[in-house]
Amino acid sequence: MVWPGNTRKIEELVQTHYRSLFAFAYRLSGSVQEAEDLTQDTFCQAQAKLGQLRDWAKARSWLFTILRNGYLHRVRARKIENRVPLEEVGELPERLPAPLPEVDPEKLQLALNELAEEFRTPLILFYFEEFSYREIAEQMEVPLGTIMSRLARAKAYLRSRLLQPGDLALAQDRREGG
Amino acid sequence: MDCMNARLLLLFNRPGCAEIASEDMDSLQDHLEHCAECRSVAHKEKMVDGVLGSALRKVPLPGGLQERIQQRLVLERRPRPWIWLATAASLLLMVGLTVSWYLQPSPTIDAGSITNLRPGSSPESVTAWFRERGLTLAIPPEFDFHYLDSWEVVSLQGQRVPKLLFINQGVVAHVYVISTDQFQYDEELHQRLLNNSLNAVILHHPDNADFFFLVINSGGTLDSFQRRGV
Repeated sequence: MVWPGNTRKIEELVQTHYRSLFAFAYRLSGSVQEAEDLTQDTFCQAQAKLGQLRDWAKARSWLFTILRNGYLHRVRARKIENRVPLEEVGELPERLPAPLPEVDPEKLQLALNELAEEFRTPLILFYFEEFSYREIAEQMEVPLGTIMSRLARAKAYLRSRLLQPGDLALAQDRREGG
Repeated sequence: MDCMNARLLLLFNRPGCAEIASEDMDSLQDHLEHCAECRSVAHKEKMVDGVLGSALRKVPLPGGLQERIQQRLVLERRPRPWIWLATAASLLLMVGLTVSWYLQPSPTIDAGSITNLRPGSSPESVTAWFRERGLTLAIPPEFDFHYLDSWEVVSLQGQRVPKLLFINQGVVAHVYVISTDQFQYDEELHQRLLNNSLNAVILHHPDNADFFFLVINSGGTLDSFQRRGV
């Protein structure tokens, strides 16, 4: 049962958040179709559970949490898990060309897909610049220190995968060639 | 602030970061003004975060996404006839069952079921009654079946056993007919029963070692149930 007032509220939520939710879903899943399914499912769940949202100011965080839970549910059902030994992550390259080249979107998504979800989610949320560290920690239900640690390692991994001199040269070649 | 702490803060520093205290931010700024190496790292951090963040946020939206979300929400809001039908059918079934339970006539007494209440039945007919229920009855030879009041199948420590109830002149004896397949004969139990005030005894079957009898009587002796000539 959806009350008339709730219909207006859910439409407002869609209008405000569907872009960022889709972007989060896409970076999380790496697939346009799955990202759309996740986004639609998220709003359907939100519509059904709108009464649970006590604090309207936390709507964005609430929606992201629903989406992440939906994604985790799908991943568990498929029994797929990404793992990369983050202990082997290198340091930020000392020599970086200025200005930095654009990052190849395909390589970026591939690198994200290689990360385990517990590292990928804080990284995406960090770069989306929509949530504080504390909010990310609350969404993932882990201590703040854990989020900081995961984020540091995930950032280092992403840099080592995307900003090594070889990769930069490749990205530059592509830009010049294209 | 030393370089190590400055590098750590640089890793998490970003515009509007509420988790780093303002004093720490001031100390970091002081350090960066005096340390060229950390200033270079800070610059690199900012550049790299800028490039990666911009790439990560660049996600093209599929056309018509908002409309498809709205359509799906409208569909979800629609009452689904099969759900209503299923709910209505369940309710009807529950109401029907409840009404039929209340309206069903009280059962009549089955004459066959009261045969075991009829006193003075013969050992043969009682044995046959238990046989129909999958139990073998050994007749306790000391008891006169004229005093047999009723019989039934009871559960004794989880085992189905025949029980005979003898009554004579106000004295009652419950006789449990126990197979040695079900329970071992326990001499110590026999002694313990004799020594306490339960008025319970274990009786052997003189001709059939496969059975024994646990007899609990309401007082007095078992002589009043004695078969003539036993």
